[in-house]
Amino acid sequence: MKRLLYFAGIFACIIIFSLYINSSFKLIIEQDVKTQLYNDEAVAYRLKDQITGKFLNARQDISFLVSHLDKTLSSEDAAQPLENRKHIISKAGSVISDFFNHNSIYKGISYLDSSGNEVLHLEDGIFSDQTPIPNKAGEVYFQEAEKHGAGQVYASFDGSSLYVCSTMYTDFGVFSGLAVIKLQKETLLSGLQTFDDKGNITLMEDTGAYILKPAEFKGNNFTEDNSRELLSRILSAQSGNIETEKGSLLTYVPIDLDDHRWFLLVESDRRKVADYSATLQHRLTGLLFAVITITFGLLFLWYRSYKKALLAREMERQNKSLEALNANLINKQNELEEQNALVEELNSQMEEESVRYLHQKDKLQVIVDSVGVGIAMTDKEGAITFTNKGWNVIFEHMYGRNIEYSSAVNFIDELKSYIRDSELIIPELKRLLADSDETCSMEMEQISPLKRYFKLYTAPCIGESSRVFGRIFVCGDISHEKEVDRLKSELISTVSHELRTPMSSILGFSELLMTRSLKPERLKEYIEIIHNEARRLTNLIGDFLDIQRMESGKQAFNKEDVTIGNIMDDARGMFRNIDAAHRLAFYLNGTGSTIVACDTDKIKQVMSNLISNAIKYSPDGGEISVSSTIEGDCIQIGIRDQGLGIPEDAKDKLFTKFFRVDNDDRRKIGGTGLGLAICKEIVTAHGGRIWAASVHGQGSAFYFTLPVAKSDSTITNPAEHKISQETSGNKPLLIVEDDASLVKLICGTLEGEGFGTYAVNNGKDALKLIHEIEFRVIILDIALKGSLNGWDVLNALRADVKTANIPVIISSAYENRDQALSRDVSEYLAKPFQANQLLEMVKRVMDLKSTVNMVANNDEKLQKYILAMLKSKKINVKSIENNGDIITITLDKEEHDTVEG
Amino acid sequence: MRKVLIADDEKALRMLIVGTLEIGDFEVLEADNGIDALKMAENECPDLLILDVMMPGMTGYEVCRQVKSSDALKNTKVLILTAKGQESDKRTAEEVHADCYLSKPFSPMELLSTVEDILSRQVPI
Repeated sequence: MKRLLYFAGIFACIIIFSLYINSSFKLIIEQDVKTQLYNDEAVAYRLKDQITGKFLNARQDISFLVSHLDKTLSSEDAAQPLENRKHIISKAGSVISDFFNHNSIYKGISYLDSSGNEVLHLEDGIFSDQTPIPNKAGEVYFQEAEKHGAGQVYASFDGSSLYVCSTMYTDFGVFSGLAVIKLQKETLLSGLQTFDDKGNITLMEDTGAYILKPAEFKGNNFTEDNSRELLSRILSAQSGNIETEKGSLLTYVPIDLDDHRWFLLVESDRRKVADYSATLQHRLTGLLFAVITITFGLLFLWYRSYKKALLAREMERQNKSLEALNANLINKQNELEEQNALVEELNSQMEEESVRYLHQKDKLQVIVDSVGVGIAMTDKEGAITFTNKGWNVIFEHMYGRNIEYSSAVNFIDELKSYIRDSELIIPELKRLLADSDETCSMEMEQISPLKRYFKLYTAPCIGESSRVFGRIFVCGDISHEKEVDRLKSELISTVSHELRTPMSSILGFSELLMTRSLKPERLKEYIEIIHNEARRLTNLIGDFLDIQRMESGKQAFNKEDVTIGNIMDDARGMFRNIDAAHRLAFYLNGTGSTIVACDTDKIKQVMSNLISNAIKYSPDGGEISVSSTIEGDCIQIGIRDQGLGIPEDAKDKLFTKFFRVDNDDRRKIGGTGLGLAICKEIVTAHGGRIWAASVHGQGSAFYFTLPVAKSDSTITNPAEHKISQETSGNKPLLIVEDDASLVKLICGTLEGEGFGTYAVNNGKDALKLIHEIEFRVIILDIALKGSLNGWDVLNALRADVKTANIPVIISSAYENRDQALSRDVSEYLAKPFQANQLLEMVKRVMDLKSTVNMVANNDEKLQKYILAMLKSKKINVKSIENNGDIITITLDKEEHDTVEG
Repeated sequence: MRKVLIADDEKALRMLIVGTLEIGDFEVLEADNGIDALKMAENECPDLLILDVMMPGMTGYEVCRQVKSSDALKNTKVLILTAKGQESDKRTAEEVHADCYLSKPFSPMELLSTVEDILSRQVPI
């Protein structure tokens, strides 16, 4: 059904198309005719121009010719023979013929006299009498000649010939006749007529056989009406065309010549045109059918392909829509990707910003945290908005826990139990918190858990345009400044005291000397006091100057190589005369010959300061031990006492200048507070360090180190022998003696020689100590208080392999020598004894001790085994004694104290 | 014979004072610390105590305070000697009701006249 409708539609279209073509053909044909007519008109116009031109030229030429002819005729009227005249006329005729060229054929020429008689007639160049000019024509010529006046040339056409006429006059101006030249003309057209302005045909050329008058149109296939219409149109219109009865077309064009309007008519045969049109129409119709057939065929083909194409197009359309959808999706995706990229860029920018911000924040945080004071800020409502590290440290330490306060009021209330005068400070702080313009600075003393001082500064936070947005609190720890102040005033007080005391004596005694006469011994005594006090004053001033010099770096140190032994000797020399309560013991631990590069005087000063401190701060007496050991590249010297010890909180400040432990026990102990500071400066200048170890109440120990000088240093030391002796005494000696005075004597003697000593007064303590400390020699009394006597101690020693080889010197008031020697005792010292005796004995025992005896069963195999073992351990055997059933192997022994066999 | 107790931890100072007082007619006792000084004062009831401030065991101020608060020693005059010589020391001396205050270094003659002066103010019972 649909297809049917479709075909019907197409069919209708074709019909409409055909009709349109047909009508178009008609139009084309009509157009063609019109074109033909236009062409006719164009031809007419062209002809008109030709005719007009030729006519004018001809008239001019003829006029010339005729006048010339006339002259010839008139001058030779009688005398000239006719032949001659004929000749002249013939020449004129050929001239005229030339003018008309090939378009017209010269027919002949007539010459008429003034009475109208033909005088001369030339036909084809030859005058002929057989063809006379009709009278009528001659009449016309005369009429015309009269009308135009003399000398004018005019032409007429009778349908087959053109008559060119010119009036001729004599020299006297008498009309002599007419010269008529007849020209026969071939025409290209079906008809040519000329009319004058009155409608008379003046010229007509056949084939159209045109009539001269409107009435005569009819006779020439024009109807009456037609003729009239033609005439009226000719008269009124400029140019145009009209159809004649016989079907031809007349084209008319006006020609104005010699004050007359002439019309040129060109006739076309309409039938020829119609035939042409019909032929054309047939051809076109055939063409049309062919076109229709082809169109149908094409349509059918098109329809078939159209169906396919339709399907294909549908698919394509769907494809396209899919593609479009796809493209759309891709676009969307691209858009999303772009947006993603944008978001990512924004993100990265944000990240950068945030990093920069964090960096900035960190920087500010670092700055704020490292200003060394606590900073907190509150807003106008009194909420804590910011605290820096310093602030947290101060108050976390004070409150003993993390501080997380949002409200400043709570924070301030908390201060109550930690600061002095809290009842004044807390309300003041609260008042300031609410105040918006007061700036205030106050000091605050922390009383718990530690004593500290703070300076608290507070001011309103003023932002842009003077807007107060909170309050800032800055809290600085001024404990140090306070301490410095305290130290300074204490220094003044101390210095004052230290200076005034000797000054009192000096001034007082000198005044006494001046005012009183004194006994000589009293005088001497007073002067000595003055001298001593003055020296004391000098020392004090010296100390001041020392510390000042060292601190300013102006102190020069004259370093030279000295042995530790020398240093120790000097120290011992300085304190040879100490009071009885104190004992000085030196333990060199084999360092006596170690060389250090130092300024001897300054190191002596250090030793002196430290030892005198040890004496000063052990008011109850006791041993003061001076030891030296090698610690890496350094020699470490330690000075230990059994005195007051150092309070924990004072340890940090010990080496601070003018610091003195503030304690009642120490009040009585004088000093400038400069000694340790000087020590520190000296030791530091030597590339060493100094420190203290102490338990409060149990004595203190001060240590300092000095770098060991290069081993290639050589040194000449007069006390070298003594040092080598003492080197072996790197372990202390033990004195087991219940007589205190004897102990003092023995210890004094031994220490004087550089031996370290320990003393106990009963056997139990002795054994305990022996197990704790390795002793070089033990000096043992037999009669001891307590449960153990000397023999018991000796037995216990020998029973233990670790102690079996310690040399023992028995000191007894009883004569027990045999008993003693039988019990593997090195020496026996009978009381009372001399100090020298003891000393010699000790030294002898030590020399002996450099060998070691080994006792073993006298078994050959065992002996061999022991020797092999000793050899493998690179222990030299000094001698082997054979005592019957046992052998004694003596070893060369320095470092190997015990060999178990 | 007027009895004077000297308490000072500096031997030289004690010797100076002893030497000075020898000029006058005095029985002179010596102590080298505050605690001993207080004990001796209680035992001997001296007419005058010359006290150093900075002494081991007990300061001169403390000795003075205890002497002045003791009925047995109500007639004992106290002279405080101090090497500090600051305003605060003088105030403290007044607070513990010391009769006189001298700062070191002092002139022995001035000390002598001061001692004479203080003791002459004493009203015999």
